[in-house]
Amino acid sequence: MSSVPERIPPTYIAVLIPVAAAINIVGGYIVTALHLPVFLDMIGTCVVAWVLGPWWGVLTGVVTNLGLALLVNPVYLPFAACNAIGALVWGYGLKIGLTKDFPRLLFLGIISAFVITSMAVPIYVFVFGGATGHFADIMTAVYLQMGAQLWVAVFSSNILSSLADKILAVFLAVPIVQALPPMLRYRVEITKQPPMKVVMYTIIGIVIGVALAAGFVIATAK
Amino acid sequence: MSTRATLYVPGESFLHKLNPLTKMILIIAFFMVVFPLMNPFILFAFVVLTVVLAAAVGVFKDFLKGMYVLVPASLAMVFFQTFWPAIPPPWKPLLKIGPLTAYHEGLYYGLVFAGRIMAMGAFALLMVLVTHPVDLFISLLKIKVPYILGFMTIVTLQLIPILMREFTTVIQAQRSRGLKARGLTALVPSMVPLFAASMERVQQLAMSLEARAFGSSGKKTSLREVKMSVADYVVIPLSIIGAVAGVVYFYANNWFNYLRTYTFPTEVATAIIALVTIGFFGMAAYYLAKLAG
Repeated sequence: MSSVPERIPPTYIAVLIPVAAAINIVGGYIVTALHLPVFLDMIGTCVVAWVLGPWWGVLTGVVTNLGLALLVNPVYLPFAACNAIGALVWGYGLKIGLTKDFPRLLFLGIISAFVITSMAVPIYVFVFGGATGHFADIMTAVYLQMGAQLWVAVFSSNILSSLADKILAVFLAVPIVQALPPMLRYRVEITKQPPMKVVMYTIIGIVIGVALAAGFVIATAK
Repeated sequence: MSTRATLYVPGESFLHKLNPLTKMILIIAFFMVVFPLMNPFILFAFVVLTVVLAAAVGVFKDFLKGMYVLVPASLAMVFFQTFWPAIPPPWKPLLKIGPLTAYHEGLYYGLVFAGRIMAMGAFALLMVLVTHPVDLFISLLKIKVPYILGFMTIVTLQLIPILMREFTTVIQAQRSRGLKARGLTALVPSMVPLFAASMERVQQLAMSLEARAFGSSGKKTSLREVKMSVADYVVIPLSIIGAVAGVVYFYANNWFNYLRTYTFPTEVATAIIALVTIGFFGMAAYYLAKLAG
Protein backbone atom coordinates (compact mmCIF):
# COMPACT_ATOMS: atom_id res chain seq x y z
CA MET A 1 0.00 0.00 0.00
CA SER A 2 1.16 3.52 -0.66
CA SER A 3 2.33 5.74 2.16
CA VAL A 4 -0.47 7.30 4.12
CA PRO A 5 -0.09 10.59 5.99
CA GLU A 6 1.14 9.55 9.42
CA ARG A 7 -1.46 11.71 11.10
CA ILE A 8 -4.35 9.58 9.85
CA PRO A 9 -4.90 6.64 12.23
CA PRO A 10 -5.52 3.20 10.67
CA THR A 11 -8.97 2.88 12.23
CA TYR A 12 -9.93 6.10 10.48
CA ILE A 13 -8.90 4.61 7.14
CA ALA A 14 -10.77 1.39 7.90
CA VAL A 15 -13.95 3.46 8.19
CA LEU A 16 -13.31 6.17 5.60
CA ILE A 17 -13.06 3.62 2.79
CA PRO A 18 -16.46 2.00 3.51
CA VAL A 19 -18.05 5.46 3.68
CA ALA A 20 -16.55 6.35 0.29
CA ALA A 21 -17.68 3.01 -1.16
CA ALA A 22 -21.18 3.53 0.22
CA ILE A 23 -21.25 7.00 -1.34
CA ASN A 24 -20.23 5.44 -4.67
CA ILE A 25 -23.24 3.14 -4.43
CA VAL A 26 -25.63 5.80 -3.13
CA GLY A 27 -24.43 8.07 -5.99
CA GLY A 28 -26.40 5.88 -8.38
CA TYR A 29 -29.50 6.52 -6.30
CA ILE A 30 -28.84 10.26 -6.08
CA VAL A 31 -28.59 10.77 -9.85
CA THR A 32 -31.94 9.01 -10.25
CA ALA A 33 -33.46 11.27 -7.61
CA LEU A 34 -32.06 14.38 -9.32
CA HIS A 35 -33.03 13.19 -12.85
CA LEU A 36 -29.47 13.18 -14.19
CA PRO A 37 -28.24 11.15 -17.18
CA VAL A 38 -24.91 10.17 -15.55
CA PHE A 39 -23.76 7.40 -13.16
CA LEU A 40 -21.60 9.20 -10.56
CA ASP A 41 -20.56 5.87 -9.10
CA MET A 42 -16.90 6.76 -8.59
CA ILE A 43 -16.86 10.02 -6.61
CA GLY A 44 -15.93 8.25 -3.38
CA THR A 45 -13.11 6.46 -5.18
CA CYS A 46 -11.80 9.78 -6.49
CA VAL A 47 -11.91 11.43 -3.05
CA VAL A 48 -10.08 8.51 -1.41
CA ALA A 49 -7.49 8.32 -4.20
CA TRP A 50 -6.71 11.98 -3.60
CA VAL A 51 -6.82 12.03 0.18
CA LEU A 52 -5.26 8.67 1.08
CA GLY A 53 -3.42 7.70 -2.12
CA PRO A 54 -4.06 5.74 -5.33
CA TRP A 55 -3.89 2.22 -3.87
CA TRP A 56 -6.38 3.00 -1.13
CA GLY A 57 -8.59 4.25 -3.97
CA VAL A 58 -8.20 0.86 -5.65
CA LEU A 59 -9.36 -0.81 -2.44
CA THR A 60 -12.37 1.53 -2.37
CA GLY A 61 -13.23 0.51 -5.93
CA VAL A 62 -12.97 -3.19 -5.10
CA VAL A 63 -15.10 -2.79 -1.96
CA THR A 64 -17.70 -0.81 -3.96
CA ASN A 65 -18.14 -3.56 -6.52
CA LEU A 66 -18.12 -6.30 -3.89
CA GLY A 67 -20.91 -4.39 -2.17
CA LEU A 68 -22.85 -4.02 -5.42
CA ALA A 69 -22.43 -7.73 -6.11
CA LEU A 70 -23.96 -8.56 -2.73
CA LEU A 71 -26.60 -5.84 -2.93
CA VAL A 72 -27.83 -5.77 -6.53
CA ASN A 73 -26.34 -8.45 -8.79
CA PRO A 74 -23.01 -10.28 -9.02
CA VAL A 75 -22.59 -9.20 -12.68
CA TYR A 76 -21.14 -5.95 -11.30
CA LEU A 77 -18.04 -7.74 -10.05
CA PRO A 78 -15.94 -7.49 -13.26
CA PHE A 79 -16.36 -3.70 -13.24
CA ALA A 80 -14.19 -3.51 -10.11
CA ALA A 81 -11.35 -3.31 -12.64
CA CYS A 82 -12.73 -0.02 -14.03
CA ASN A 83 -13.14 1.49 -10.59
CA ALA A 84 -9.62 0.40 -9.64
CA ILE A 85 -7.94 1.81 -12.74
CA GLY A 86 -9.81 5.09 -12.23
CA ALA A 87 -8.39 5.31 -8.71
CA LEU A 88 -4.85 4.85 -10.07
CA VAL A 89 -5.30 7.57 -12.71
CA TRP A 90 -6.73 10.05 -10.19
CA GLY A 91 -4.30 9.20 -7.39
CA TYR A 92 -1.18 9.47 -9.53
CA GLY A 93 -2.68 12.44 -11.40
CA LEU A 94 -2.69 14.33 -8.10
CA LYS A 95 0.91 13.31 -7.43
CA ILE A 96 2.13 14.76 -10.73
CA GLY A 97 0.19 17.96 -10.16
CA LEU A 98 -2.78 17.51 -12.48
CA THR A 99 -5.20 18.98 -9.93
CA LYS A 100 -3.55 22.37 -9.52
CA ASP A 101 -5.74 24.44 -11.85
CA PHE A 102 -8.90 24.20 -13.94
CA PRO A 103 -7.36 23.17 -17.34
CA ARG A 104 -5.18 20.49 -15.75
CA LEU A 105 -8.08 19.09 -13.75
CA LEU A 106 -10.19 19.02 -16.90
CA PHE A 107 -7.36 17.16 -18.61
CA LEU A 108 -7.24 14.65 -15.74
CA GLY A 109 -11.00 14.10 -16.10
CA ILE A 110 -10.68 13.48 -19.84
CA ILE A 111 -7.71 11.11 -19.43
CA SER A 112 -9.50 9.11 -16.73
CA ALA A 113 -12.58 8.81 -18.96
CA PHE A 114 -10.48 7.33 -21.79
CA VAL A 115 -8.58 4.93 -19.52
CA ILE A 116 -11.70 3.72 -17.71
CA THR A 117 -13.63 3.25 -20.97
CA SER A 118 -10.72 1.26 -22.45
CA MET A 119 -11.05 -1.04 -19.44
CA ALA A 120 -14.84 -1.28 -19.67
CA VAL A 121 -15.22 -1.89 -23.43
CA PRO A 122 -13.62 -5.37 -23.49
CA ILE A 123 -15.94 -6.38 -20.61
CA TYR A 124 -18.97 -5.04 -22.44
CA VAL A 125 -18.02 -6.67 -25.75
CA PHE A 126 -16.92 -10.10 -24.52
CA VAL A 127 -19.37 -10.58 -21.69
CA PHE A 128 -22.37 -8.47 -22.69
CA GLY A 129 -22.12 -8.60 -26.50
CA GLY A 130 -21.68 -4.82 -26.57
CA ALA A 131 -24.76 -3.93 -24.55
CA THR A 132 -24.71 -1.92 -21.34
CA GLY A 133 -28.42 -1.58 -20.58
CA HIS A 134 -27.95 2.21 -20.33
CA PHE A 135 -28.58 5.18 -22.60
CA ALA A 136 -25.13 4.64 -24.15
CA ASP A 137 -26.78 1.79 -26.10
CA ILE A 138 -28.75 4.32 -28.16
CA MET A 139 -25.53 5.86 -29.47
CA THR A 140 -24.05 2.39 -30.01
CA ALA A 141 -26.97 1.60 -32.34
CA VAL A 142 -26.45 4.88 -34.21
CA TYR A 143 -22.73 4.21 -34.75
CA LEU A 144 -23.41 0.59 -35.77
CA GLN A 145 -25.91 1.76 -38.36
CA MET A 146 -23.23 4.13 -39.70
CA GLY A 147 -21.10 1.04 -40.36
CA ALA A 148 -18.77 0.90 -37.36
CA GLN A 149 -17.34 -2.36 -36.01
CA LEU A 150 -18.99 -3.47 -32.76
CA TRP A 151 -16.10 -2.60 -30.46
CA VAL A 152 -15.56 0.77 -32.16
CA ALA A 153 -19.27 1.59 -31.76
CA VAL A 154 -19.26 0.48 -28.12
CA PHE A 155 -16.15 2.51 -27.35
CA SER A 156 -17.42 5.62 -29.16
CA SER A 157 -20.76 5.58 -27.37
CA ASN A 158 -19.42 4.71 -23.94
CA ILE A 159 -16.71 7.34 -24.06
CA LEU A 160 -19.48 9.96 -24.34
CA SER A 161 -21.24 9.00 -21.12
CA SER A 162 -17.88 8.32 -19.49
CA LEU A 163 -16.54 11.79 -20.37
CA ALA A 164 -19.58 13.48 -18.86
CA ASP A 165 -19.44 11.21 -15.86
CA LYS A 166 -15.73 11.37 -15.02
CA ILE A 167 -15.25 15.10 -15.63
CA LEU A 168 -18.23 15.73 -13.39
CA ALA A 169 -16.87 13.30 -10.78
CA VAL A 170 -13.51 15.06 -10.68
CA PHE A 171 -15.06 18.51 -10.29
CA LEU A 172 -17.51 17.28 -7.66
CA ALA A 173 -14.67 15.68 -5.71
CA VAL A 174 -13.03 19.13 -5.40
CA PRO A 175 -15.64 20.74 -3.08
CA ILE A 176 -16.00 17.46 -1.21
CA VAL A 177 -12.26 17.31 -0.46
CA GLN A 178 -12.37 20.95 0.61
CA ALA A 179 -15.18 20.16 3.03
CA LEU A 180 -13.15 17.38 4.72
CA PRO A 181 -11.47 17.89 8.10
CA PRO A 182 -8.02 19.53 7.80
CA MET A 183 -6.33 16.35 9.03
CA LEU A 184 -7.37 14.64 5.81
CA ARG A 185 -6.95 17.37 3.23
CA TYR A 186 -3.80 19.22 4.32
CA ARG A 187 -1.59 17.36 1.82
CA VAL A 188 -3.96 17.56 -1.12
CA GLU A 189 -2.99 20.36 -3.47
CA ILE A 190 -6.12 21.23 -5.32
CA THR A 191 -7.64 24.06 -7.38
CA LYS A 192 -10.53 26.21 -6.21
CA GLN A 193 -13.96 24.98 -7.19
CA PRO A 194 -15.03 26.56 -10.52
CA PRO A 195 -18.73 27.48 -10.88
CA MET A 196 -20.80 24.36 -11.70
CA LYS A 197 -22.32 26.14 -14.72
CA VAL A 198 -18.86 26.51 -16.31
CA VAL A 199 -18.16 22.81 -15.71
CA MET A 200 -21.55 21.91 -17.17
CA TYR A 201 -21.06 23.86 -20.40
CA THR A 202 -17.51 22.54 -20.77
CA ILE A 203 -18.80 18.97 -20.43
CA ILE A 204 -21.62 19.51 -22.92
CA GLY A 205 -19.15 21.04 -25.39
CA ILE A 206 -16.64 18.21 -25.04
CA VAL A 207 -19.29 15.47 -25.31
CA ILE A 208 -20.89 16.95 -28.42
CA GLY A 209 -17.44 17.52 -29.94
CA VAL A 210 -16.32 13.94 -29.34
CA ALA A 211 -19.67 12.54 -30.56
CA LEU A 212 -19.37 14.45 -33.83
CA ALA A 213 -15.69 13.57 -34.22
CA ALA A 214 -16.40 9.86 -33.69
CA GLY A 215 -19.29 10.02 -36.16
CA PHE A 216 -17.09 11.78 -38.71
CA VAL A 217 -14.25 9.26 -38.35
CA ILE A 218 -16.65 6.31 -38.63
CA ALA A 219 -18.41 7.80 -41.67
CA THR A 220 -15.15 8.53 -43.53
CA ALA A 221 -13.50 5.23 -42.60
CA LYS A 222 -16.28 3.24 -44.21
CA MET B 1 -32.60 0.30 -4.89
CA SER B 2 -33.76 -1.60 -1.89
CA THR B 3 -33.03 -0.32 1.58
CA ARG B 4 -32.34 -3.83 2.91
CA ALA B 5 -28.74 -4.45 3.92
CA THR B 6 -28.01 -7.18 1.34
CA LEU B 7 -29.65 -9.58 -1.08
CA TYR B 8 -29.40 -12.42 1.46
CA VAL B 9 -32.68 -14.18 2.21
CA PRO B 10 -32.63 -16.23 5.43
CA GLY B 11 -33.68 -19.84 5.05
CA GLU B 12 -33.04 -23.44 5.96
CA SER B 13 -32.68 -25.06 2.54
CA PHE B 14 -29.80 -27.35 1.55
CA LEU B 15 -28.24 -24.50 -0.45
CA HIS B 16 -28.35 -22.21 2.58
CA LYS B 17 -26.53 -24.81 4.64
CA LEU B 18 -23.63 -25.31 2.23
CA ASN B 19 -20.30 -23.75 3.12
CA PRO B 20 -19.68 -20.48 1.18
CA LEU B 21 -16.46 -21.92 -0.22
CA THR B 22 -18.42 -24.88 -1.60
CA LYS B 23 -20.79 -22.43 -3.26
CA MET B 24 -17.84 -20.63 -4.78
CA ILE B 25 -16.55 -23.89 -6.23
CA LEU B 26 -20.05 -24.53 -7.57
CA ILE B 27 -20.08 -21.11 -9.27
CA ILE B 28 -16.66 -21.66 -10.84
CA ALA B 29 -17.70 -25.13 -12.06
CA PHE B 30 -20.92 -23.71 -13.52
CA PHE B 31 -19.10 -20.86 -15.29
CA MET B 32 -16.51 -23.23 -16.79
CA VAL B 33 -19.27 -25.21 -18.45
CA VAL B 34 -21.53 -22.30 -19.43
CA PHE B 35 -19.12 -19.65 -20.69
CA PRO B 36 -17.91 -21.40 -23.87
CA LEU B 37 -21.34 -22.85 -24.72
CA MET B 38 -22.59 -21.72 -28.12
CA ASN B 39 -26.16 -22.93 -27.95
CA PRO B 40 -29.00 -20.64 -26.82
CA PHE B 41 -31.36 -23.57 -26.11
CA ILE B 42 -29.00 -25.20 -23.63
CA LEU B 43 -28.13 -21.82 -22.12
CA PHE B 44 -31.77 -20.88 -21.56
CA ALA B 45 -32.39 -24.37 -20.21
CA PHE B 46 -29.74 -23.56 -17.58
CA VAL B 47 -31.58 -20.30 -16.82
CA VAL B 48 -34.86 -22.18 -16.34
CA LEU B 49 -33.10 -24.76 -14.17
CA THR B 50 -31.71 -21.99 -11.96
CA VAL B 51 -35.15 -20.37 -11.67
CA VAL B 52 -36.62 -23.71 -10.59
CA LEU B 53 -33.81 -24.14 -8.07
CA ALA B 54 -34.46 -20.63 -6.74
CA ALA B 55 -38.13 -21.46 -6.29
CA ALA B 56 -37.22 -24.74 -4.60
CA VAL B 57 -35.04 -23.06 -1.97
CA GLY B 58 -37.65 -20.36 -1.34
CA VAL B 59 -35.97 -17.24 -2.73
CA PHE B 60 -38.06 -16.91 -5.92
CA LYS B 61 -39.37 -13.36 -5.38
CA ASP B 62 -36.01 -11.83 -4.52
CA PHE B 63 -34.42 -13.81 -7.33
CA LEU B 64 -36.74 -12.22 -9.91
CA LYS B 65 -36.04 -8.78 -8.44
CA GLY B 66 -32.29 -9.36 -8.84
CA MET B 67 -32.67 -10.64 -12.41
CA TYR B 68 -34.54 -7.47 -13.35
CA VAL B 69 -31.19 -5.62 -13.65
CA LEU B 70 -30.19 -7.92 -16.52
CA VAL B 71 -33.29 -7.32 -18.63
CA PRO B 72 -32.39 -4.03 -20.41
CA ALA B 73 -28.85 -5.24 -21.16
CA SER B 74 -30.15 -8.57 -22.51
CA LEU B 75 -32.66 -6.84 -24.78
CA ALA B 76 -29.97 -4.52 -26.14
CA MET B 77 -27.62 -7.48 -26.61
CA VAL B 78 -30.01 -9.42 -28.82
CA PHE B 79 -31.04 -6.22 -30.66
CA PHE B 80 -27.44 -5.27 -31.55
CA GLN B 81 -26.42 -8.71 -32.69
CA THR B 82 -29.56 -9.28 -34.76
CA PHE B 83 -29.18 -6.15 -36.84
CA TRP B 84 -25.38 -5.80 -36.79
CA PRO B 85 -23.89 -9.26 -36.22
CA ALA B 86 -20.40 -9.26 -34.70
CA ILE B 87 -19.41 -12.34 -36.70
CA PRO B 88 -17.93 -12.53 -40.19
CA PRO B 89 -20.46 -12.71 -43.09
CA PRO B 90 -22.21 -14.41 -44.92
CA TRP B 91 -25.44 -13.55 -43.09
CA LYS B 92 -28.90 -14.74 -44.09
CA PRO B 93 -31.39 -11.84 -44.06
CA LEU B 94 -34.51 -12.57 -42.02
CA LEU B 95 -36.67 -9.49 -42.38
CA LYS B 96 -36.45 -5.77 -42.94
CA ILE B 97 -37.70 -3.04 -40.59
CA GLY B 98 -37.24 0.36 -42.24
CA PRO B 99 -33.52 0.89 -42.84
CA LEU B 100 -32.57 -2.07 -40.61
CA THR B 101 -32.10 -5.65 -41.75
CA ALA B 102 -32.34 -8.49 -39.26
CA TYR B 103 -29.99 -11.42 -39.83
CA HIS B 104 -30.43 -15.03 -38.92
CA GLU B 105 -26.90 -15.61 -37.64
CA GLY B 106 -27.09 -12.39 -35.68
CA LEU B 107 -30.25 -13.46 -33.89
CA TYR B 108 -28.63 -16.78 -32.98
CA TYR B 109 -25.46 -15.10 -31.74
CA GLY B 110 -27.41 -12.48 -29.79
CA LEU B 111 -29.43 -15.17 -28.05
CA VAL B 112 -26.19 -16.96 -27.16
CA PHE B 113 -24.85 -13.77 -25.53
CA ALA B 114 -28.08 -13.05 -23.70
CA GLY B 115 -28.43 -16.67 -22.60
CA ARG B 116 -24.86 -16.77 -21.36
CA ILE B 117 -25.10 -13.64 -19.21
CA MET B 118 -28.57 -14.62 -17.96
CA ALA B 119 -27.41 -18.13 -17.02
CA MET B 120 -24.23 -16.95 -15.31
CA GLY B 121 -25.93 -13.96 -13.67
CA ALA B 122 -28.82 -16.10 -12.47
CA PHE B 123 -26.60 -18.75 -10.93
CA ALA B 124 -24.29 -16.29 -9.20
CA LEU B 125 -27.31 -14.33 -7.97
CA LEU B 126 -28.90 -17.45 -6.54
CA MET B 127 -25.72 -18.25 -4.62
CA VAL B 128 -25.56 -14.70 -3.23
CA LEU B 129 -29.20 -14.95 -2.18
CA VAL B 130 -28.53 -18.02 -0.05
CA THR B 131 -25.21 -16.94 1.50
CA HIS B 132 -24.97 -14.79 4.60
CA PRO B 133 -22.35 -12.12 3.77
CA VAL B 134 -20.61 -12.54 7.13
CA ASP B 135 -20.28 -16.29 6.52
CA LEU B 136 -18.81 -15.53 3.11
CA PHE B 137 -16.07 -13.35 4.53
CA ILE B 138 -15.34 -15.71 7.42
CA SER B 139 -14.75 -18.48 4.89
CA LEU B 140 -12.66 -16.19 2.71
CA LEU B 141 -10.34 -15.71 5.70
CA LYS B 142 -9.54 -19.42 5.46
CA ILE B 143 -8.17 -18.97 1.95
CA LYS B 144 -6.05 -16.02 3.14
CA VAL B 145 -8.20 -13.16 1.87
CA PRO B 146 -7.32 -10.22 4.15
CA TYR B 147 -9.73 -9.65 7.03
CA ILE B 148 -9.99 -5.95 6.23
CA LEU B 149 -11.65 -6.55 2.84
CA GLY B 150 -14.57 -8.40 4.36
CA PHE B 151 -14.83 -5.93 7.22
CA MET B 152 -14.97 -2.97 4.84
CA THR B 153 -17.54 -4.57 2.56
CA ILE B 154 -19.84 -5.37 5.48
CA VAL B 155 -19.52 -1.84 6.87
CA THR B 156 -20.27 -0.44 3.39
CA LEU B 157 -23.44 -2.49 3.13
CA GLN B 158 -24.59 -1.30 6.54
CA LEU B 159 -23.88 2.33 5.68
CA ILE B 160 -25.94 2.41 2.49
CA PRO B 161 -29.42 2.68 4.06
CA ILE B 162 -28.06 5.23 6.55
CA LEU B 163 -26.57 7.39 3.81
CA MET B 164 -29.77 7.16 1.76
CA ARG B 165 -31.73 8.48 4.73
CA GLU B 166 -29.16 11.21 5.22
CA PHE B 167 -29.40 12.19 1.56
CA THR B 168 -33.18 12.53 1.84
CA THR B 169 -32.73 14.78 4.89
CA VAL B 170 -30.14 16.91 3.08
CA ILE B 171 -32.23 17.34 -0.05
CA GLN B 172 -35.34 18.24 1.97
CA ALA B 173 -33.38 20.79 3.98
CA GLN B 174 -32.03 22.33 0.78
CA ARG B 175 -35.49 22.35 -0.77
CA SER B 176 -36.90 24.21 2.20
CA ARG B 177 -34.21 26.83 1.50
CA GLY B 178 -35.50 27.19 -2.07
CA LEU B 179 -33.12 24.85 -3.94
CA LYS B 180 -34.46 23.39 -7.15
CA ALA B 181 -33.82 19.74 -6.39
CA ARG B 182 -33.04 18.48 -9.87
CA GLY B 183 -30.37 18.83 -12.50
CA LEU B 184 -26.61 19.30 -12.29
CA THR B 185 -26.72 22.44 -10.18
CA ALA B 186 -28.36 20.49 -7.35
CA LEU B 187 -25.40 18.10 -7.15
CA VAL B 188 -22.94 20.20 -5.18
CA PRO B 189 -25.49 21.34 -2.56
CA SER B 190 -26.56 17.72 -2.00
CA MET B 191 -23.30 15.74 -2.31
CA VAL B 192 -21.05 17.99 -0.25
CA PRO B 193 -23.27 18.05 2.89
CA LEU B 194 -23.77 14.30 2.51
CA PHE B 195 -20.02 13.72 2.54
CA ALA B 196 -19.48 16.22 5.35
CA ALA B 197 -22.16 14.59 7.47
CA SER B 198 -20.64 11.15 6.83
CA MET B 199 -17.32 12.43 8.15
CA GLU B 200 -18.82 12.81 11.60
CA ARG B 201 -19.97 9.23 11.36
CA VAL B 202 -16.43 8.21 10.33
CA GLN B 203 -15.06 9.85 13.44
CA GLN B 204 -17.54 8.09 15.74
CA LEU B 205 -17.03 4.72 14.08
CA ALA B 206 -13.24 5.07 14.17
CA MET B 207 -13.39 5.83 17.87
CA SER B 208 -15.59 2.85 18.64
CA LEU B 209 -13.26 0.60 16.62
CA GLU B 210 -10.29 1.99 18.53
CA ALA B 211 -12.08 1.23 21.80
CA ARG B 212 -12.53 -2.37 20.67
CA ALA B 213 -8.84 -2.83 19.81
CA PHE B 214 -9.45 -3.07 16.07
CA GLY B 215 -5.77 -2.89 15.09
CA SER B 216 -4.58 -5.53 17.54
CA SER B 217 -2.68 -8.44 16.07
CA GLY B 218 -4.35 -11.20 18.10
CA LYS B 219 -6.55 -13.87 16.58
CA LYS B 220 -9.96 -12.55 15.58
CA THR B 221 -13.08 -14.48 16.46
CA SER B 222 -16.58 -14.12 15.04
CA LEU B 223 -20.10 -14.38 16.35
CA ARG B 224 -21.05 -16.65 13.48
CA GLU B 225 -19.28 -19.92 12.84
CA VAL B 226 -18.87 -21.62 9.49
CA LYS B 227 -18.16 -25.33 9.34
CA MET B 228 -17.81 -27.92 6.63
CA SER B 229 -20.60 -30.49 6.70
CA VAL B 230 -21.07 -33.89 5.08
CA ALA B 231 -23.03 -32.20 2.28
CA ASP B 232 -19.99 -30.04 1.47
CA TYR B 233 -17.74 -33.08 1.18
CA VAL B 234 -20.25 -34.59 -1.25
CA VAL B 235 -20.97 -31.44 -3.30
CA ILE B 236 -17.34 -30.37 -3.86
CA PRO B 237 -16.17 -33.55 -5.66
CA LEU B 238 -19.51 -33.77 -7.46
CA SER B 239 -19.22 -30.24 -8.84
CA ILE B 240 -15.63 -30.83 -9.94
CA ILE B 241 -16.59 -34.09 -11.67
CA GLY B 242 -19.64 -32.37 -13.18
CA ALA B 243 -17.56 -29.49 -14.52
CA VAL B 244 -14.95 -31.79 -16.07
CA ALA B 245 -17.58 -34.09 -17.58
CA GLY B 246 -19.55 -31.10 -18.90
CA VAL B 247 -16.52 -29.48 -20.46
CA VAL B 248 -15.36 -32.74 -22.08
CA TYR B 249 -18.85 -33.59 -23.37
CA PHE B 250 -19.63 -30.12 -24.72
CA TYR B 251 -16.15 -29.75 -26.19
CA ALA B 252 -16.47 -33.10 -27.99
CA ASN B 253 -19.70 -31.77 -29.53
CA ASN B 254 -18.11 -28.46 -30.57
CA TRP B 255 -20.00 -26.70 -27.74
CA PHE B 256 -23.25 -27.44 -29.63
CA ASN B 257 -22.52 -24.61 -32.00
CA TYR B 258 -25.37 -24.58 -34.54
CA LEU B 259 -24.58 -21.04 -35.67
CA ARG B 260 -24.78 -21.69 -39.42
CA THR B 261 -26.73 -24.92 -39.40
CA TYR B 262 -29.86 -24.19 -37.37
CA THR B 263 -32.72 -22.20 -38.88
CA PHE B 264 -35.27 -20.52 -36.62
CA PRO B 265 -38.90 -20.94 -37.71
CA THR B 266 -39.91 -17.60 -39.24
CA GLU B 267 -42.74 -16.96 -36.74
CA VAL B 268 -40.48 -17.58 -33.74
CA ALA B 269 -37.72 -15.38 -35.17
CA THR B 270 -40.19 -12.60 -35.99
CA ALA B 271 -41.67 -12.75 -32.51
CA ILE B 272 -38.25 -12.53 -30.82
CA ILE B 273 -37.10 -9.71 -33.09
CA ALA B 274 -40.34 -7.79 -32.52
CA LEU B 275 -39.91 -8.23 -28.76
CA VAL B 276 -36.31 -7.03 -28.61
CA THR B 277 -36.91 -4.15 -31.05
CA ILE B 278 -39.89 -2.87 -29.10
CA GLY B 279 -37.96 -3.43 -25.86
CA PHE B 280 -34.91 -1.57 -27.13
CA PHE B 281 -36.81 1.42 -28.47
CA GLY B 282 -38.91 1.49 -25.32
CA MET B 283 -35.72 1.64 -23.29
CA ALA B 284 -34.32 4.35 -25.58
CA ALA B 285 -37.52 6.39 -25.22
CA TYR B 286 -37.35 6.01 -21.45
CA TYR B 287 -33.78 7.30 -21.27
CA LEU B 288 -34.45 10.16 -23.69
CA ALA B 289 -37.49 11.18 -21.66
CA LYS B 290 -35.36 11.11 -18.52
CA LEU B 291 -32.67 13.18 -20.25
CA ALA B 292 -35.28 15.77 -21.21
CA GLY B 293 -36.50 15.78 -17.59
